[in-house]
Amino acid sequence: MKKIGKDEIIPVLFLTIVVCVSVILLSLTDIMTRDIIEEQKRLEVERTLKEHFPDLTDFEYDEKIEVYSIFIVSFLFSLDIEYNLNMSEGQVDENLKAAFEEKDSTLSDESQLHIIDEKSWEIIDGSTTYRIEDTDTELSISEVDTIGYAFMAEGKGYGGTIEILVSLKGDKNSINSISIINHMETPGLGAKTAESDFTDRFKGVAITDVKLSKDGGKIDALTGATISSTAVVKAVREAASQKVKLIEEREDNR
Amino acid sequence: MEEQAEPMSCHGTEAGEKMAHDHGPSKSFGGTVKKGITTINPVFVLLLGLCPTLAVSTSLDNAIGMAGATFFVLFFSSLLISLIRKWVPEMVRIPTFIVIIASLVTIIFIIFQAYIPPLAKSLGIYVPLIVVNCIILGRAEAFASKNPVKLTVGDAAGIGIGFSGAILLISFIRQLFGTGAIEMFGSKLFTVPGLVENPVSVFILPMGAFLVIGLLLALFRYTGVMESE
Repeated sequence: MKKIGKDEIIPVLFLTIVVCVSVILLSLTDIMTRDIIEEQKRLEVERTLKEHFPDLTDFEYDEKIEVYSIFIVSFLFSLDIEYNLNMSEGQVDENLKAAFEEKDSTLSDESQLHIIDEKSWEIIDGSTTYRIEDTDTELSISEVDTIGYAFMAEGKGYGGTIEILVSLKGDKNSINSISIINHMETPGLGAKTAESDFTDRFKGVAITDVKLSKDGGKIDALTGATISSTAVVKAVREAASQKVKLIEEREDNR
Repeated sequence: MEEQAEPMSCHGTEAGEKMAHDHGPSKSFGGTVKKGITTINPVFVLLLGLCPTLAVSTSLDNAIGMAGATFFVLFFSSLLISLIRKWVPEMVRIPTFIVIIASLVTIIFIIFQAYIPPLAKSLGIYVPLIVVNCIILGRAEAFASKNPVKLTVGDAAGIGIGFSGAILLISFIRQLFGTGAIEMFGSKLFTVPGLVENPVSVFILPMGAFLVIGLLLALFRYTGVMESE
């Protein structure tokens, strides 16, 4: 057996050192930039959501079903904190109902109070949602209108995965808008599906109509980019149907 | 972002070495730089890094991003490798170079993601291509590992400029004929009437890339601008 001497050990040692240095530098870079990159991604989603819903005032991400709910929050009135209110989960306190009445807002007997955190609550009364915030000086009551939902969809394009942000209108029946977030399609051909000329074709279309015209739907494919067009259409329709089911399940469980 | 393990098929080390031998390394900084641009242009003479060049030269935007990133990686990896060349054991030469190059590319990409997100987005798919770009490994092996820092920096700069010029030229032609318009960073610089309505799409496709590179190669050699090997 050949003796393991200096000539064998030094190269191994050297390469090990080089790799260690590389790993340290990479980790440092990652540590330095991780938060910034997370922030960038969040900002981009926010920016895109604002493009889809210019009137939005707030949105919330449900991690379980991976859906954004988009709201317009309109301030209604405020209440003095002195009100002796029982803010516990479940049936709405009589005093709270009375307080609402005084401000010309009626809460039905079926309204349910939900605790969001120690300074925020939500009252769901049928199709209306109210948000109550304790600002330390008063209770601020706003009405929350869900104007839409948004989620990511993925499709198999010509060159790889296509990532799409899909938004639905509040009625959960039709598409509000779509944006292509990431793709690897051929520039000049399939990549054109990321442009507004193509994505605009989805606006206002009912989910069941999200098919190519040649398949009986309402979306015209892009000339010379059939594969990319098909991939986007399929991804949007499937994700939308799936997410609508999840959203409705969630509402039923409330 | 996925890193794919590409089989190493760099013939560049042989080509690079042969060129250096035939033409003799220039002893001056300026001479070395100039050599990299014309005499041993990485794309048209050394025929290195054709894969990323073909793939990325579909638009000026992509070409600019790719050229910039490649130049950066080429420059700093050559610099680093030249600095440590006397200590690298023969047996682990190639793995060492690959680790250095891959780390540099990854670090640059992460920094882009954090501070210049739009650029990171358009380059994202090409990052694996930069890592396996034979120009970088080829020059590391043929030049940086054998020459002092000053000359290496000149070589890297020259090769980098040569590559950038090549990929920009190819992209310009492909975009012009393939879409009929020249766009940069989103704004249309100019359009060719007649061609815009009926672009010759083949130029955008891979076969068009081969066509353009082949014709340019022939042109340069015929006119003697760049000699064949």
